[in-house]
Amino acid sequence: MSTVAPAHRRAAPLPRYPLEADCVSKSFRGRAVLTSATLRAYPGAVTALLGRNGAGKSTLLQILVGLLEPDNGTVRVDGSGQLRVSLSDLARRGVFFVPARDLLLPSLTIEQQMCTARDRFGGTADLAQIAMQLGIADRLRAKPPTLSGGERRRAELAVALARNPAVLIADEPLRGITPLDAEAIMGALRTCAAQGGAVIVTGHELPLLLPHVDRVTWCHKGFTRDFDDVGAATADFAFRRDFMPGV
Amino acid sequence: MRWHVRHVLLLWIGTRVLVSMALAWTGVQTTSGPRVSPADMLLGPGAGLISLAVTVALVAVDRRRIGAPLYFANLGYSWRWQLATAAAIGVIAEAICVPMVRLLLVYAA
Repeated sequence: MSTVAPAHRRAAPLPRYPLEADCVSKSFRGRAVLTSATLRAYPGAVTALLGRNGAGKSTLLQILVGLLEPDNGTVRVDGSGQLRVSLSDLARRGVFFVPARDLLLPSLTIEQQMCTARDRFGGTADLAQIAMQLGIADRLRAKPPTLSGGERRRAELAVALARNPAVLIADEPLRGITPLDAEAIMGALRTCAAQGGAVIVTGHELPLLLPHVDRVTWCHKGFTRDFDDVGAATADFAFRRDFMPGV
Repeated sequence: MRWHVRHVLLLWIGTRVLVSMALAWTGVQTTSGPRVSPADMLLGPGAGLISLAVTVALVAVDRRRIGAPLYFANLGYSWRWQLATAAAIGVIAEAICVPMVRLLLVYAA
């Protein structure tokens, strides 16, 4: 006698994401920043993690990459829950995290740091093309302290893209960036997604961000809502009222 | 990795010289009586241990300051690895450089 359930009654397999923080919560000194937040990296898509100041976006990102431990909830890598996640372990699995503050070493040139990121995992990324796309081709021999804020931000992303990451997470990549440079950055992130990478970005520069993202995760009052596309997010009354007044 | 080694070595050399000078000046560390030569100072285990501890602490502080832990973590090197290798580099440098410097000082004298 067969014990196999009929096809229509079999549970569908859960989708596996390369990186996922599922229903995580986090408090700091008794103040709940995240109550039940979920963030997923979707391969081949650019996901914008949006929310007001203090909504917990950076906290959620830091939990996702193992820099913070959640009070509750799970971080899954390729579908399997992890007791402890560390960025160095995730990096070996193709994750690259660009924090909101400085990332690069001050005493090495941008080219050296791009080469290191590429060669460390035996990558084959075309560094000249990445630098060209981000508009820093003439600054490759410069060291980070000699770069402007916008150039440094683009250099950080150039190092990240030199790694050819499977999951690229960038915390506020457009902060302090001119619209033209923002176009270059978002174009480079789109290229990464087009090559199958999962990209997650945060930011407040909606006019610069939204035209280039595929999905939106809205972080609000400790919870998150996932929108399948930008249109669904901007059509949502609560999202518009809370995050885009006047739009 | 090269940057890491070079950086730790520079920190260790600076620390080692300063700690040796400080101990010699205060006369805290003695290996052959109350009057000790610079060569005695360099050989002393106290200066070596203090320098090693200070070097690792400086590496930790410096890395935090410039955000390097995240840079290295993105390359698959953990924070623990960074501090452990800093300590190892200090021990190796101590084992190789200090006897050489002492020999030079002996010959110079």
